[in-house]
Amino acid sequence: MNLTDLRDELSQRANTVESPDLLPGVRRRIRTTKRRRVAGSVTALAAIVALGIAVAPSLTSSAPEPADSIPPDYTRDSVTLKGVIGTDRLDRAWIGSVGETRGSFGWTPTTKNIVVYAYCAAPGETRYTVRIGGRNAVTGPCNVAHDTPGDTGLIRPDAALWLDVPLHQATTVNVQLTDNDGRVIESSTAQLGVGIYTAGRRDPVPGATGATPTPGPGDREENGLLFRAKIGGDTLAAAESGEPGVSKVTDSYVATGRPIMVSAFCTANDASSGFPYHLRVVIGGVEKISGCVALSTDVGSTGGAGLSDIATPGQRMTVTATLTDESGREVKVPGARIAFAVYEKGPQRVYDNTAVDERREYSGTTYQLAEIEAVDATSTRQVSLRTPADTPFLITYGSSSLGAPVEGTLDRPTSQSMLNTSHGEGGLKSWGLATDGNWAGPSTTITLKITRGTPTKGKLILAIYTPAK
Amino acid sequence: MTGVDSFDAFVLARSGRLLRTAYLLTQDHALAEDLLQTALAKAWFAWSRIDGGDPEPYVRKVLVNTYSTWWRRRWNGEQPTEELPESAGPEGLAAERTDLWRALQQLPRRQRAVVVLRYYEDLSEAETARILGCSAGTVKSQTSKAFAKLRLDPNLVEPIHRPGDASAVRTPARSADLADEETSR
Repeated sequence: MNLTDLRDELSQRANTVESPDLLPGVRRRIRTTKRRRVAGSVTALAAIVALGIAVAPSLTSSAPEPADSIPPDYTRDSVTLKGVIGTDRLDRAWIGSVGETRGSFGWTPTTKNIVVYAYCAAPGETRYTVRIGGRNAVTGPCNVAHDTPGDTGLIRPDAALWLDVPLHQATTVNVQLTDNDGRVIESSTAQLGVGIYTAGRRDPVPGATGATPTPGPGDREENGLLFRAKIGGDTLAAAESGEPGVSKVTDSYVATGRPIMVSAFCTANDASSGFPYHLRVVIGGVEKISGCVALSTDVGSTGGAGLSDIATPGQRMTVTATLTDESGREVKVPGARIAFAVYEKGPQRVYDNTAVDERREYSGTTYQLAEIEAVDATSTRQVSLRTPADTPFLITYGSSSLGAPVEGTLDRPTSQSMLNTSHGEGGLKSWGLATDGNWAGPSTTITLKITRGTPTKGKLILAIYTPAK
Repeated sequence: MTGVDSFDAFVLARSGRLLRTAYLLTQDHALAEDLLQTALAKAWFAWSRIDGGDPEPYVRKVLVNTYSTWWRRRWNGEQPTEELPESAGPEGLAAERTDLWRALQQLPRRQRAVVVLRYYEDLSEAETARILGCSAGTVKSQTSKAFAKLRLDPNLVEPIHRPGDASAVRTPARSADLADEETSR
């Protein structure tokens, strides 16, 4: 190499620089500096939160990616979005100037597994909202430091967002400052930033594979939504979805008399602030559930409302889902997608008013009931089970209605869970049922016991599931 | 023309070239924008003093000094190493240039600033020294050290002879200058 090479290199690199209009940014910076000189307080907030966003890659058990593909940090106005957070890798970044409470930038998604980390420094109780392709993607409170890889902004392949944001096509990402009610607000001292990261590997929750369920016979796929014929021990009875903008969908099924679970899917609120829309699901002429969220395009995988005694065997039941406003009036929302799925429950063990599934799906893994104890709570204050050795397992624990305020614990060798009837459904004085996943390990004893109060009725319920064969 | 008008006109007219310099210093487009905006905002508060002459040397001085001081304190993303890794790139001009760009990235900030000012801005040693606030000898020694790291022939470190530029003469480096520069990294 010689001097000519050096000059050529510098010249060619310099010529890659475009000439944006820097004047607005310079003016903002001058205004900010003036304010800082007068008040001197804004700097502290910006610095504190800037430190918050300058997150360090955390230590994980994952193998590092090759060094040559590590994305660089993105820094602007002394705010840094790290190139790598844990195993998440920066794909696109944007940081606005101080006082810039709304921003937008272009982005072309190449994967459906992303994490959106937002930077928001703003006075008072404020929030940020990130929209991708016009759909709400992530929202959260401002002035919260992101110092570890998080799942708050995790957008998985089954997210409703991907129905309207196709891969490899340019889309627009918007970020804006809002109050706690979702109203867009202005602030001369606020600063926003957004980093879109390709999500790295995440450790599954204990006892769960997190695997995508394999397709089975009878599965249906409509309008980008999946309706699986079987989920755990439950069987699909009815399902319907609409094209974007449709406000009402209907299906029917012949009841067997078994309890059902109803799942609904609704994206109408995804382009709105607040939750102005409801999807009202009516079964046999009676409204059973109402709400409007879209948790997964695998409709039914996230559970739903359990209902029993709503039909006699052989009775044809019509199910209708209608999109309405808050007053209950049917409304059409352009682009909104609605759907529902009705599953008839599989075999269950029923104790008083509480049912325990014999077969269930837990974060991608199907489990079978292996052992269950249900003891009279008025005469027995504790119940124990041995956990299986060398296999993942689930513990389901709780009670039916106990008739009085009662506190209790589930004791494991390494942890303890607290139970209280005030957390159960109103009036039932029940602990309800909770389920924890566990990794394989040596066999131990777990004990569910009453620690305070005297039940007047009901049962203590303790069950163990092992992976279905 | 008011001070505001002349400042706006200056930014519109000169920010393109200054941004290129900022990019060569930071090697990052966003950082370069950040750096230049900061320098221009600083210059605004001194505009009444510098308006009337050519403000560009002043702004460039603010730019370079902001880069080598404020940048060091406020931005933790960059950690230049003292020694360059061994070059093992493929043969060919493109590969050499990539290596050269990476090698520039590895230079201590003051050395990178010297290289950019002298061989992109085509400033003399004396002009470079004025901007950096050091002696011409220090500029020369820093250039020589930078060339050694860039694997350029140190014999290429010749003063740029410009008509009427009496300062463009070869000046021996002083050990005191070198020590001073080493501690500034």
